[in-house]
Amino acid sequence: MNTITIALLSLVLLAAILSFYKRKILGSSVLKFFSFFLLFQFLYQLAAALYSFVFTQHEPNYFIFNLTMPVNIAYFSALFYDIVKHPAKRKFIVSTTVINLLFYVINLAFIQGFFALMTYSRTALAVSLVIYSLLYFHEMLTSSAAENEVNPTRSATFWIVTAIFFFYLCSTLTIIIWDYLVASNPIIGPLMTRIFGFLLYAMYVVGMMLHKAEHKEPTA
Amino acid sequence: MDASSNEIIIAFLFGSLMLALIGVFMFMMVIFYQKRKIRSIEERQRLIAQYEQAALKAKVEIREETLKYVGQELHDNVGQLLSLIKLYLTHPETQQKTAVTQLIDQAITDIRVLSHDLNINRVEQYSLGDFIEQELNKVHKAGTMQTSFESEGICELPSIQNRVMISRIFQECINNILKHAEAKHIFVKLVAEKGSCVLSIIDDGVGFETSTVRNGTGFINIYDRLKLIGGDIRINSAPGNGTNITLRIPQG
Repeated sequence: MNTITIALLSLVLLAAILSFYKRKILGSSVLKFFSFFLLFQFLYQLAAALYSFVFTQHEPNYFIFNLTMPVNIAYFSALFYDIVKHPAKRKFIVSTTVINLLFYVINLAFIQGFFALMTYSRTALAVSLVIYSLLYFHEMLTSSAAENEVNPTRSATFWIVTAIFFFYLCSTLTIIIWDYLVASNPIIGPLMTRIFGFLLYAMYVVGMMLHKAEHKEPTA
Repeated sequence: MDASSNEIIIAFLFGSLMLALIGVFMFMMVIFYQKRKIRSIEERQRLIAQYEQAALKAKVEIREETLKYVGQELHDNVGQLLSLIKLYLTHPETQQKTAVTQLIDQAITDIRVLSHDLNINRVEQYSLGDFIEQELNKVHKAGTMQTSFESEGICELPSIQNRVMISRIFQECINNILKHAEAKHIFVKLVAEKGSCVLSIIDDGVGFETSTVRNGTGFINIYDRLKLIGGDIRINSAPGNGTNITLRIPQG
């Protein structure tokens, strides 16, 4: 296991610990569940690293990522369903989630299979998440209930969505131009994906650290 | 330069670029968000000012209406009684003492009722149902129309300003009936249902073409006031068929 992998795993663990620490003020139950989701991410990434670097001699660990993909699809969809309030946008999130899950099953059974990295399903998930993030940003800038909201930089949701948006947008673009990147410089592709990963979890950490509880309107 | 240092330089440059991009994005989002928040606060303040102004105007109008009514009553009723008493006292031989005493008693009762009506803060002191009943009593007393009032459930409006505005709207509707409807009966019903108060004002008058009066000042005032308190209005009328006005006012 190299240093970069250990550093990345440490960052995921730190984000999980911080989210557990801030769990009480995270607001909705879906956001509170984010702590468990991060812990789950840490565990499966640790398992993947151990499988490739400790238990085998660099054997591909794609099946672990494939196995956990439905959980990622379901949780991210639930998260966006929770934070996006517009009914039409919510319907869109539900329908694309169902399509993504169906496509995952079809891809698993008939196209890429369990032991190859399921890039098609991952790309479909990434595109969906980028669109969901844009829906969230749109709602954030146009919603009428702004006065009681905290500054977005003090909201973990904003940091999480921004992190997801950049991570999935950039990593998907990288995957699309992967062949070109590897041909021009073999180290740049893997390096970029690691930088995206670092930024994703670093933003989770910052979001958790800066998070402040929302004001509640006094009830009569 | 070896491959490892190359890797570090690329990582550093790429990481910095990404961080800068994210930083700019977040900065822009926060700027837009703050602008929208300021706009939203300004809009809310404007609405509050408009609401307070409308409530104050309604209160002033109710006072004017009350004073006008009391003035009319003093002139038409108490004034007449006192003139009659004066006439009797000038010619004491024509009438018995008991008749004069009865007239004085009547005048005292009328003045007592008027002093009660003159209480210009009655909207704030009484419930909406009581206010409606008092207004209908005035109409009934004039003797030109029959009135009936029915109330179901408890209609408690959230603020005094809302009560003032809806009371003024009710007065405006009754005034319209008195001035234009040529009605014989006015039926009023106040019902509490599903977090709202539903006030129906029905008359059997000449009715009107609803499209022609919607732009009148009276109706515009009613619409504006209802909009400010989050209510709505439905008007059903046709020439010769009377008028049915239904107001729905939120209670919460």
